[in-house]
Amino acid sequence: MRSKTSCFNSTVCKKDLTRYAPVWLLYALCLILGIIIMYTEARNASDNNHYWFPVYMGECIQFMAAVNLCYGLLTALLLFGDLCNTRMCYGLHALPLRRESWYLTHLAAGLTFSVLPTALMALVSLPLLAGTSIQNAWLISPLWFLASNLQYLCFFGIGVFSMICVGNRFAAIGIYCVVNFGSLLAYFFVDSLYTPMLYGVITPTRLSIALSPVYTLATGSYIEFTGYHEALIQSAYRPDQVRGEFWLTGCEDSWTALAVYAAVGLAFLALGLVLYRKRRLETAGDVVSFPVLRPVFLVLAAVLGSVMAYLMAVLILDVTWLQYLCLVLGLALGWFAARMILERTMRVFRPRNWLGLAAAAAVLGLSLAVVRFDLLQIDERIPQTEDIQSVSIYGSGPGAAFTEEADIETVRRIHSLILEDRLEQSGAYLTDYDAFASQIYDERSTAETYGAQSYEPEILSCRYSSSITLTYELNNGATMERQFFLWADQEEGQLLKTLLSDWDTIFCNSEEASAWGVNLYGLSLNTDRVSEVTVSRVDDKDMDPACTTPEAIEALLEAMKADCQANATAYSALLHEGHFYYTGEFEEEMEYDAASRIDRSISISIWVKGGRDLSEDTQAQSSVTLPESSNEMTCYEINVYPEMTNTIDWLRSYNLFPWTVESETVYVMW
Amino acid sequence: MLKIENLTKTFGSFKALDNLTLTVPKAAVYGLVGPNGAGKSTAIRHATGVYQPETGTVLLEDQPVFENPQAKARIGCIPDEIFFFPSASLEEMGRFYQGVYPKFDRELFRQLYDVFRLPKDLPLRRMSKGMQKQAAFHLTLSAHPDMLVLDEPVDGLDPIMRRQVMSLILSDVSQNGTTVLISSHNLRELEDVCDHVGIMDHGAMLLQRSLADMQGSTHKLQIVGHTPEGLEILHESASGRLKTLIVRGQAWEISTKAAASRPAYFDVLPLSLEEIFIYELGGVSDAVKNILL
Repeated sequence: MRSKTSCFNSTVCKKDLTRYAPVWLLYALCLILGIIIMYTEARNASDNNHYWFPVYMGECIQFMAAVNLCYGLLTALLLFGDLCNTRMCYGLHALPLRRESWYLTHLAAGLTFSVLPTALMALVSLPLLAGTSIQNAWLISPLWFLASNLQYLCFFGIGVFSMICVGNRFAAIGIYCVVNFGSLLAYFFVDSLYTPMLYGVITPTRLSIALSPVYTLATGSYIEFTGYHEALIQSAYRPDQVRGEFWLTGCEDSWTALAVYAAVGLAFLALGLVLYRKRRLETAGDVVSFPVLRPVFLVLAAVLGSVMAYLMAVLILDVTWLQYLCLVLGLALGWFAARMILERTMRVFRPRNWLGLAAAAAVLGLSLAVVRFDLLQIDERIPQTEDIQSVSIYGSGPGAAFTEEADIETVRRIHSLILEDRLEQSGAYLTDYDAFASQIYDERSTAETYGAQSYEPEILSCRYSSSITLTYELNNGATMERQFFLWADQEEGQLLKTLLSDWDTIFCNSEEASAWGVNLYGLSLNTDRVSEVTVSRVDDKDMDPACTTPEAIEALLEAMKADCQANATAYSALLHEGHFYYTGEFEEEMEYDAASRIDRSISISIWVKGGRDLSEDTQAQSSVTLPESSNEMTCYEINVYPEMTNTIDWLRSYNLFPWTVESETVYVMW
Repeated sequence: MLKIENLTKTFGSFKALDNLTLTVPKAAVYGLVGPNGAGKSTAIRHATGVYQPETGTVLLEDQPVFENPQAKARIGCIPDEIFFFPSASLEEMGRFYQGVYPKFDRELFRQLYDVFRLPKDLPLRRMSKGMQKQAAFHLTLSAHPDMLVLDEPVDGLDPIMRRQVMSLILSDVSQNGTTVLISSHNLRELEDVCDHVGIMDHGAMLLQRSLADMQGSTHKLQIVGHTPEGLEILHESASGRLKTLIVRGQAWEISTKAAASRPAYFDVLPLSLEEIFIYELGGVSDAVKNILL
C-alpha cells in the first residue's frame, strides 16, 4: 500500500497550485508588467537604460515589501481559508491526512506562489541587467529574488498565523493588521495621549518601527551603486558613459533586518503549526479559535476603539475634556462591539459586561493618572554621570556628542535647569514651537509689530531657543532621549552656547555627531588642509575666486577659531543675540518690507576636496565608504551669527558683507 | 469495528455529547437515531476523526481514529453537508481522492460512471443536491472503505432518490462486507436497512440494540381471560374483554405461560420496530418520540 501519511502530500499541493493558479499567474503577470515599466522608465530617464535599470531594480526591493504585505496575506487567506468554512473544514479533515500534512503542504504551496513568479521575473531581468553599464548588475537579479522571497516569508508567516488564530477571514485580516501596524498605532496613541503629559519625553520610535516589519522592510536601502551622483548629473548628457558597480556595503542593516524578519516569519509559521494541531475545528466561522484569545480580542478591540476615537477627536476637537470623553466612548464602543462579535448577539449589555468595561476604563484611567502625575518619575529622571557612556545634543542643526565627564556634567546641569524652568499650559507641557512662541508673546508682551495685516510677518523682540534633543547613551546599552525648549537668556542657554561653541566639537567631531559638518564622514577640518578647502558662496551669493586663495581661507578658519574661543559659534540662531539687517540690493525688482531684510544668521559654504556633496541625497548613510580617488567635494554649510565678530570682519575685509549688525534680538514670526 | 466509549464533547457551556458509548460491530449496518440536536453529527465527526475527543476514546479496531491516517483511510465519510472544491468536476475530485486514499480504485471509479451516470466534467456545484449526493457516493465507494460513515445521507432527497441511496448502501454491504454507521432523525428511514440501532438524546445514548434481538424478545399478547402470571409486561391495555399486553420474552415462552392460564382466546404477535421503541423508551421526551413517527 502506498504511504499517504507523510508530512507532504503532492496531490494536495498540486490541488492548491491549480485551484489558485489564477492568483499566482496574475501576480507573475503583474511582476512582468512591472519589469517592463521599469525598463521603459529607465530608457526614458536617458537615451538608454545602461545605468538606471539596475538602480530601479535595486529600489524595487523596497517596493516589494508593500507588495508582499498584501500578497502574503492573500495567499494565507486562500490556502487556509477552508478553516473558516465548516463544510470544507470538516470534509477535508475527515480525509486520511494528518494536520501536519495539511499544514506543511499548504506552506509548500504558499511558498511556491511566491517563488515561481519571482523566479520568472528574476530570469526575465537577468539578461536586461547583464547588458547595463553596472559591471555586476546581473547579480541584482538573484538578490532581488532572495530579498523578495524573504519578505514574502515574513508576511506569509504572519498571515498564516493570523488565519490559524481566528475562524473567519475578516478577523484574520484584523489580526494581520494588528501584527503589522499595531506598534505604529500604539506609537501614535502613546505619543498623542501619554507623552504630552511628560515634559521633554520623546515617545521611543525604535521599538515601534522594529515591531512593524513592513515599515522597516520598505524603508531600508538594499543595494548601493557607485557613480550614482555622476549619473544623476550626466543623465541629461551622456549617462551611457557612466560606469559603476553595485555593492552591499552600507546596506547591512537592511539585509540583517530582512533576515531577522524572515526568521520571525518562520517562527510564526512554527507557532501556527503548534496552534493548528490544537485548534478545535468547530470554531470555523468564529472570530477567535482559541478560548484564551477571547479576552485578548476584547482588550484589543477596546483599545483600538479608544485609540481611533481619541485620534479622531484630536484631529477635529480642540477641547481636552471632549477628547478624553471620546477616548472613553471609543473604549466602550470597542468593548461592546467585540462582545457582540464574540457572542453573535446584540444583547450584550448585561451587568457583567458593564463590569468588564468598568475594569478596562479603570485601567486606562489609572495609566493616565500614573503618567499625568509622573508617579514613575519618568520626566524628572536625569541619568547619573557614571551611568552615561555618551550624550549627544541636537538642535535645529547637526548635533554634537560628548564623552568627557566634564561635558557630560554640563549637559546634566542644562537638563536639570530646563526641568526647573519648564512651562505648562492647559495641563500639558509646551513642546510645540508655535505654542512656545505664543506663550512668550503672551508673557513678555514686548512685541513690536511691523505688519498689522494678516499673513504679514510679526517681528517679536524676544529670544528663546528652538528645541534641543538630548540623547543619553547609557552604559547598560539603553538610550534615553529628551526634547526640550529652553530659555536662551537663562543659565541653561548660556551653558549650551558655551558647549556648542567649541572648535573641536564643531569641526573635528566625526560622523553624525558633527555640529556643523553637514556631511562630514569622518573628515576633520583644520588648517593643515587649507589647500583642500575652498569657499564658494556667502549666503546666496557666489564668491569672487580671489577670495578663495589659501591665504584667505586660512584667515577665515583663524577668524572662526577665534569666534569659537569667544563662545559665539553655537549652531542655533536662537542662542545668539542681535540680528543682521540687509543693506544691499535685491536681485528681483520687488518691494521688500523690513522683515525681509532681517536675518538671524548668514551662511558660508565651504568645500573640501576628497568628499562628495550628498546634500540632495537624503538617504545618505554616514558609514558609506568613499573611494580614495574621488575628485568630488564635501560641502559644509557654516552659519555666521551677529556675535561672530572675527568672521564678520573677515567677510568685511573681502567686501562680502552687505549687512549691518544690530544688537536687538528679534524673531520674525510668519 | 468502531467503538466509542465514554465520549464527552462540549461547545462552550453546551454539552453536545455526554459520556456517549457506542459500538458498531463489524459488517453491521448501525442506525444512529435521534432528534435534532441529539449529538448524532457530533458523534459522527468524532467517528471520522474530525473532532478530537475531550474525554473518552474513539477506536477503529483498537486504533484511535483522531490524527491517524491509517485508520481514517479505512473510513469513507459522507457528511450531511457534502464538500467539494469549488468548480471541481467529478473527474477532478476523483483524481484528488486517488491521491489521498491509498486504496482508491481507479477502475471501480470508472465503472461507477455506468452506475450513477453522472457527467464527468460538469462542475459539481452545478449539479442538483441528489446528484451531488450520488457523486459523494461515487467518490467514497471508489476509495474502498472498510467502514462507511453516513450523516443523514437521504436528508433532503426525494423518495425515489432515497430508495436509490439506500439500495446503494445495501449493495456495498452485501458485496464488500462494509460496516456502515448511518445517522438519521427518523427511525422509519433506517428500519429497512439497519440491523443495529442506537437512539440518542441530549448527547447520551438512550438505547442501543440489535434489531433481531429486540424483535425476538418483545411481543404483543392479545388475550381474553386472566392475565397470565410470570410474564414481564411492559404495557397493558384493554378493549372490552380483549386485553393487549406488550410482553418481553420469546414467543414460545409467552405462549406456554398464556396457555397455562386457560384463557378463552390468546394470540402472540410480533411488534413493529416503532412499537418496540415506543414501549422500550417508555417515558422519554416528545422529541425522542418524534423520531419514531
